[in-house]
Amino acid sequence: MLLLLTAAACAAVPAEQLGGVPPRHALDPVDRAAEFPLRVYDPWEGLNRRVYQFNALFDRYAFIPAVRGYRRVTPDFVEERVTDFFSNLGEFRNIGNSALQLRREATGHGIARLFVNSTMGVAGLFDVATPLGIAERREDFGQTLGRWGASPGPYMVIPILGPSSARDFGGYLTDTAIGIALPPEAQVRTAVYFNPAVYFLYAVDQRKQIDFTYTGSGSPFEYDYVRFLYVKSRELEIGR
Amino acid sequence: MSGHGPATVDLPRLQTLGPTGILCITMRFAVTILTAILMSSGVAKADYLGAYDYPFVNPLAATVAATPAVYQADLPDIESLDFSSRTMRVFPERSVPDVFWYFADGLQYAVVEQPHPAPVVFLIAGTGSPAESVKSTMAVKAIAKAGMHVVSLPNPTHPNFIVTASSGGVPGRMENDAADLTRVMERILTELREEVEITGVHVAGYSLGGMHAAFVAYQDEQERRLGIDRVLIMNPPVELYSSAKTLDAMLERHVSTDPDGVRRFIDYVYNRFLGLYDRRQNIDFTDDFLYRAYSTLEPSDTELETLIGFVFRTTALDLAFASDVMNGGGYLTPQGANLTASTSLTNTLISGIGLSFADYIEEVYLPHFRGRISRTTNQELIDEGSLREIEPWLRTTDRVGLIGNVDDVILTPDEVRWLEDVFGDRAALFPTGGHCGNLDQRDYVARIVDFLRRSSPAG
Repeated sequence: MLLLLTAAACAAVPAEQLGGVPPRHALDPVDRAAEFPLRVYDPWEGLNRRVYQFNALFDRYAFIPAVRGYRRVTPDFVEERVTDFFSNLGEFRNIGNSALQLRREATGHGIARLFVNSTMGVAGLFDVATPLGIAERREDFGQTLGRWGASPGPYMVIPILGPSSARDFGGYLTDTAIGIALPPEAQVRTAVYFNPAVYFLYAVDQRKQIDFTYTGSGSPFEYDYVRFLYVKSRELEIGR
Repeated sequence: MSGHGPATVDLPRLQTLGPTGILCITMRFAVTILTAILMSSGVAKADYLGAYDYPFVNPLAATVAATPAVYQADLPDIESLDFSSRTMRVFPERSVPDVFWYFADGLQYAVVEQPHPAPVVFLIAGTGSPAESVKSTMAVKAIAKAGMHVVSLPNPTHPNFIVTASSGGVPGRMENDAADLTRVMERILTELREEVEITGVHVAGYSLGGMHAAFVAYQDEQERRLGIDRVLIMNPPVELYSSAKTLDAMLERHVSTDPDGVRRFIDYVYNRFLGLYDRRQNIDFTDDFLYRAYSTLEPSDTELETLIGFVFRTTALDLAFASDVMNGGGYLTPQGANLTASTSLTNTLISGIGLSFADYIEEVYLPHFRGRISRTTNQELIDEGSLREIEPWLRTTDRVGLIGNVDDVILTPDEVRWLEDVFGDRAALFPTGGHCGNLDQRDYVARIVDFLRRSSPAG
């Protein structure tokens, strides 16, 4: 019963089925289910749209003001150090997943970056690897699963984190769990993330790097466009 | 679009040529000079600018890739300005439909205030654009550079305006849109006068916003509710319907909007994009990204037209949907339906993407206004949507200034000539730039600043 209720809450009622006189322009029943480029597997669309709304409001009233405040009080030099520092910690994930994908060059790349930035870059505060020609190659467990043939599964909008998929969110949780449990990342995490202020800084830094404002376009179909772009760009990232 | 630029003549060493050779060179030189003279002679009075620092001679490329960083004007950072994003409930008694939950606070506009007394410039965004769009932000910075307060408004064809500030909910009729804009401007002016000292009021707009600015100023000339001093019109259409059909055609020429057509288009775009993605390990979406993408991909005219046409198509759909909901449905959504924040709009998008702006005009706009304005035909309604409607005023008033591009993709050559003829020396026409491609180019911005500064002899 609970499952049925949840399923009902998650599914979205399509606009054309809301009753009343049908509009002059609408898809006929055959086309409503037909494959179409902008259509993405989204069985939990109703719930996803509500979470999208929550994320937009959270952004507007909490996240973006936090980022603005952070940018106002923090000197650019310090902001860059923060970004470089957390980016360096992300290399553990990049290395592990590159290895799992059997990408030798990318794995070596990640190891080189981690080493160079942690030593010459003073514990990751300075990204000296990129100017040396060793740019970051982001790999996560969602990409690993994708590379090994897993399809994305249902589209998901995660609270605060934004667009994802069943596969990619599972991947994100896996990366996080591995980071907490397995050395050497586990030791670093304990040392670094001990302080809740660090989590806050990490979140704000992440948000700062994403140049997207929810509902900034003002388009009523933004949810659909974002969903499509997310799926397509993940395909590109996995293929790369 | 060749011939705009300094004539270069390859001069081989004269000793190796006989008399015939010298004659050929002389003739080639003469023809080049003659061509240059002929090209500029048709532009008697308008300030016809010759070669300027802008890289694209292809107007489609200019429209899409805009201005690369090295050619951009030196504009202030947003952080250095007293900039605020604001909202206003224009019709407090009107409840915003659930499906537009993100417009619940009302009209979304932006303000830049100067620390000294100055005129305020109301900037109207382009077709279907919000107040903080990329191009509006460029224009806001240029106006701030001229030392004036700025109020950036969405275009009446943008969903935010349609839902929160339009009295009729069917945008596109200049007289109605101008009245809606005036109402909003009056209220903002009152609010601003309590915060800063305002020494004058100007209006500016680019693309369709330019046309709107002209009609707002024209209306104000009769009603004097705002006290508008000067109007800056940038890259406007001359006839709304004809420019819209031009943009519709850019997509329709190359892509059929049935599922197969759209699928092929999207796959094609992504396969092309994939090529670019491979070459660059990390895509940093800086100002120069579009320019570098353009240089690497070297899109054909077909691809550029399709891109421009597709963006216009999505704008037309947003407009049609917002207008439909505000008028009780029946066009794209079921009549009387209560759409919420969780309603799926995917099928509406898929069916709507096949409709052009001309479809909106014919199926929504014309029936709506024919029902409200007695004794008028469809053709009269279409003809109304034109700068020609206010030609006598445009010809004689010293309030207006025009900045535009001769190769604007939304204008026919006749329309360019009409603009040159009507505006005369009150027009600055660049030889290239496409449609608003050069909006933040050094010389274009200089023209904006120059026009505004000339408007206010004191402060």
